[in-house]
Amino acid sequence: MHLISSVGDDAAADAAELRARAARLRSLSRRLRATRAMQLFRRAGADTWVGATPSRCLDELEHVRRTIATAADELDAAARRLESQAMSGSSGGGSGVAIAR
Amino acid sequence: MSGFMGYCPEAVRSLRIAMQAAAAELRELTCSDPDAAVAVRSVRSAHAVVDGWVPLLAQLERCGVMDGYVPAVIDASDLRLASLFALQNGGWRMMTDPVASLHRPMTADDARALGDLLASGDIRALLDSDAELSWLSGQLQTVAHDDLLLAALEERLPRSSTRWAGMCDELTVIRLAATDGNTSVVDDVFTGIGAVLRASSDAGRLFPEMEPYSAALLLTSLGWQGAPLGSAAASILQRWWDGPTSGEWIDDAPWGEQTADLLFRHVASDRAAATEFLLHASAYPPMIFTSAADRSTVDALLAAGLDSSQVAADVAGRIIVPIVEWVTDRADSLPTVVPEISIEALAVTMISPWLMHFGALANEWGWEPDEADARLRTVIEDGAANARLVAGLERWAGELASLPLFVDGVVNDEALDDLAETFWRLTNAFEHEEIADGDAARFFVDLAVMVADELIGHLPGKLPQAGADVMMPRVVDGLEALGILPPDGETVREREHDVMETRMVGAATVLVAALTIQLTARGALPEGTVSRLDVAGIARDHSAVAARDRLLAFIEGVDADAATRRHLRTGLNAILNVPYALDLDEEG
Repeated sequence: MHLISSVGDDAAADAAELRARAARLRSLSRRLRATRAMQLFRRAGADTWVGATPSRCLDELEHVRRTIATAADELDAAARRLESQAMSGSSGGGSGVAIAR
Repeated sequence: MSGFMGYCPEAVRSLRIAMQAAAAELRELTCSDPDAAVAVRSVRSAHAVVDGWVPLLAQLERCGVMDGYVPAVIDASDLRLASLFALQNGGWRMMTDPVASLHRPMTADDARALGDLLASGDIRALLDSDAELSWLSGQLQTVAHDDLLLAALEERLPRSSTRWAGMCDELTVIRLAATDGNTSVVDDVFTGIGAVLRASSDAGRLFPEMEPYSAALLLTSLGWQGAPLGSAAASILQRWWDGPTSGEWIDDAPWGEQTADLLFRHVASDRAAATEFLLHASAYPPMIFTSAADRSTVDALLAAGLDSSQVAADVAGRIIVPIVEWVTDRADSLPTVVPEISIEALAVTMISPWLMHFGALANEWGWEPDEADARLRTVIEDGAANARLVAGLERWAGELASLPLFVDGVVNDEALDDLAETFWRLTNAFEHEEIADGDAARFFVDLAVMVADELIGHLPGKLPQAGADVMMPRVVDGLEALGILPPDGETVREREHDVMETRMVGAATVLVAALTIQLTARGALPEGTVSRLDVAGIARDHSAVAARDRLLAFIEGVDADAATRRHLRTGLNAILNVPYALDLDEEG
């Protein structure tokens, strides 16, 4: 009985940690999506400057936007994975997880 | 793209501030979680990019000099800088731009800027390099195929504007000055202008505003077809022919390609346009025959515009009659530059498909037959014209084929009379010119073969089988020899005559037999009359004279009235006139 109770406590702690990590990743994702860098390309168009250098700048800023959006998507995916692990660790009675460890 | 960049100082300052703020923000974004490592690396990369642009933007704000970036002022002499010039006028600053260009789609603002510069700039300065011309042709094609861009261009340069005419004339100057003969760059710009103006009803109104040569080049780029093309081309050439109000036309030189060459070459590619052009221009025949530097273009024009398989006879008459009258009446006061093709030879190009109208059908064109005959003789007095008429016989085959000698198995009396008279007149015309050499012989042999084949092809089924069996081999005999004979030599001539005699005998016999059957069916001859025709005897004869005598004897012997016999003789003469013309009647 003691053994079972101890394993259940560890599992709960692990699940909480996984959820905390997931939350940090989601927070970073949100900050990335909201960053000013995502909107810079709107300021760098033909209303601001024209020519080959401006065209290259615009291309690079659009690439920056896509890079950050991809990074945010990857953070969200990692967060979902951690949340899923936390869910399976806590809902399965925990013993399986604890015993396995 | 242009080697320059333009920027709005206030907007660049705003961009620089936003860049710095974004860079600072990205720098602060971090996370120690191992699952965020990739994302954090991406953020660092984005930071480096954003931060890297800040110094350049800061320098631009100060209008400072950097490596490759030097403050500049754009003038209105380079068409490719139209957009930047317009922006500069709006308060933007310019810098040289060392970065290699990237393609950027044309915008409505670009089209307006282009229109501005073309409408008000120095056209000569704007078009003074191949690079600018190539660029312009591409821009115009882009504009022409985009309604929004076209509308934007028209805001500044309406398609009815005479600036287009000035532009075309400037392009003409450049084209005529191309010493290497490579005019493709200029022609591409004309194609671009034509694409822009194509849908405009004002395009035709621009022609009188420019040199005829320019108008001809523009016309060839507008994509017009048929009657509108022919009519416009005639109008342009008429203006060239009438001469400028002062000075000279730009192409008014005794060498090189001229307005007429451009027009004729283009119009000749469109049969309906060529006919329409000739209908307008035939009132001024010298304009057709003497205004082109390259007379082969006249030849092409006449051949296309008077194609007997496409053009109605009355339309052809409205063109040919005034031209032939001019050719045969013309004074010798015309410029006597020795041409590669004589005017008479050119005239034969249009006459040869319509030979029947210089004989039996002359009255359809308002000529008395004698007059048509006389004019044809005058034309072929020219040696080159004579040779052309002989060589052009094939073209006449179309008209002959359209003259049905048999309709539903019945001889077409009217067609037969027409053919007989035309043969007779042609025969006399050639005899008059003493064209009894190999060329003429070949001409008549070919003519005879065509008629014979036409008749044999309609061999009446009621003709006695034995006769047909005997006759057919004779008619086809010698075909091979016809194609390989040289045009001179007594032996050759005799062989040609032999071949022709053979064919004419066959053709005449078929015709007389067919007429006999026909007249019998009408009740003009007794039943069985055709069996009295000695087909086997004719097959044994070796000359047209003997065959004619045998056929005449048959005709005189039939039990019929004088009118019926005359009808039979007419049919016979229609065919046998040809051998007579070549003095085959050895008995005199």
